[in-house]
Amino acid sequence: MTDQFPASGFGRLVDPHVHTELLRSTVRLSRLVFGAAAASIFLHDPGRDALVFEAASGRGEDRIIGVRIPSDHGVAGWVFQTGQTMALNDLGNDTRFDRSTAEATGYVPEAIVAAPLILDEPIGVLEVLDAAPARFDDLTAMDILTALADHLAASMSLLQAARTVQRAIDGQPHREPWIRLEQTLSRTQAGESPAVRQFVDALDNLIAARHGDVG
Amino acid sequence: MEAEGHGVTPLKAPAYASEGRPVARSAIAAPYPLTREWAFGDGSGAGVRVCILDSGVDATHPDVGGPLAAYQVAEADGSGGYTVVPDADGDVAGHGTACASIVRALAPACEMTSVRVLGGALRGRGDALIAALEWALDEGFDIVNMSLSTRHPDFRDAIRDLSDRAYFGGTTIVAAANNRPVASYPWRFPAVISVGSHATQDGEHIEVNPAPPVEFFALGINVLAAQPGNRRVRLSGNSFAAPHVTGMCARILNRHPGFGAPQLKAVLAGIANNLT
Repeated sequence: MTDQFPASGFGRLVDPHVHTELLRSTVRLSRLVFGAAAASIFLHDPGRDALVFEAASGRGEDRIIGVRIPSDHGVAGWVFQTGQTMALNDLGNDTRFDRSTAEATGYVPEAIVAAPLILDEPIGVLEVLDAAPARFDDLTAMDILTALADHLAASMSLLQAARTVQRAIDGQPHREPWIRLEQTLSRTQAGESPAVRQFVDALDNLIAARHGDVG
Repeated sequence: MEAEGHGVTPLKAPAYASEGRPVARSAIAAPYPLTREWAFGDGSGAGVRVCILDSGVDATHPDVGGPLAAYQVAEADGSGGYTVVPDADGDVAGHGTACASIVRALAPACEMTSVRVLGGALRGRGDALIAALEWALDEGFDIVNMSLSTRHPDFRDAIRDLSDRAYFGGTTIVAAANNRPVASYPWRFPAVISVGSHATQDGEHIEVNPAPPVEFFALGINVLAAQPGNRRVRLSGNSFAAPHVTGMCARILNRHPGFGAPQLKAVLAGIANNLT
């Protein structure tokens, strides 16, 4: 049975589209919850010590994916550096806060709430820009965004674990057909249909027979 | 906690931000009400040495004001370790300047020193943070403000040892709590004073938390704070609650120079605004 195979189910987990969709749906959800002009996710690029926009929803979303900002600048930088959730309301200074982000995105927010994405240490930041006024007070806003960030981080840790397993399996070529098979089955609409079950059972018996281990 | 399903909040459920819970005066180790006059003296914090471990401080900002000794952590030549050296770069990030301005607002005459431990390559370097904290203890500061924490398990024991050393050595560490139930340091250690946020718009308003690990709540919501370049912003977060307690501790130490962390905790609880 497929549930005896240790890699069962993770064809989907190592699928890069799942990762992208997880980030996209989180920024969309964050923007909607806060009624915000925009929401974005930065992930840290250790090689360049920069925060990179990985997903965005709302104002400027089409132009900022892949843009880098210094890892210690702006509210995103503070949150990344300290591991603390924070909010900022700009007071209309002549020199706007977070200029590096503004220059990168062409969008200058007046209010930001940002929460760290933490695995062992911060790996990135979830941020909402210009939330709907008076929808939440800052304390509530920070609690909600922290919860969304923790939810995302927990999901990302599973993806990371799946990729670790994938790397281990990459070194074992005989596993590779099983992964491909699982991926193929995961794309079918059949789900738990008898046809899939019969196919897998037959395959299971075939393999067992080839190993001289017919049960 | 099944009781939550019935709309009953267990009394001892930890609170990570102020829920406005009252605390009975009989629960505080003070035989009679403490007055702020007795606790704070003239309120200047004069003569008290405060160290800000953060992203650096812009000493030219009028809200920070006054002389400020600036240091940074740097890699020691060849040894792979870290050392603390004078810093001329100020604060490129802004977080430390905000914290310093909050301390200064409450304790305008305290002596302030900045050690830059955040920014660029220093982030996440637990050993850099340890080097800075060790240096601060060697220097014998009265208070160390840490509006930051680390979750890295490799550095937990070393930071706990330094927190204990500070507790017994007369240096009080004031640390921003995390607003989630995670194990990060140093705020979780009982040797330090851990601070979460309330939203009452009064920088001198302090609450003692009946449900730790967060021990006190100070103003951490919509705080007016300085930024490099002679700017000001409104900030929210426990990072900005901790400096309020640092400022209050500086006031107390000006009036009561011999107090360490245990006495400061007792005095802060004794003057808390949520006592009934």
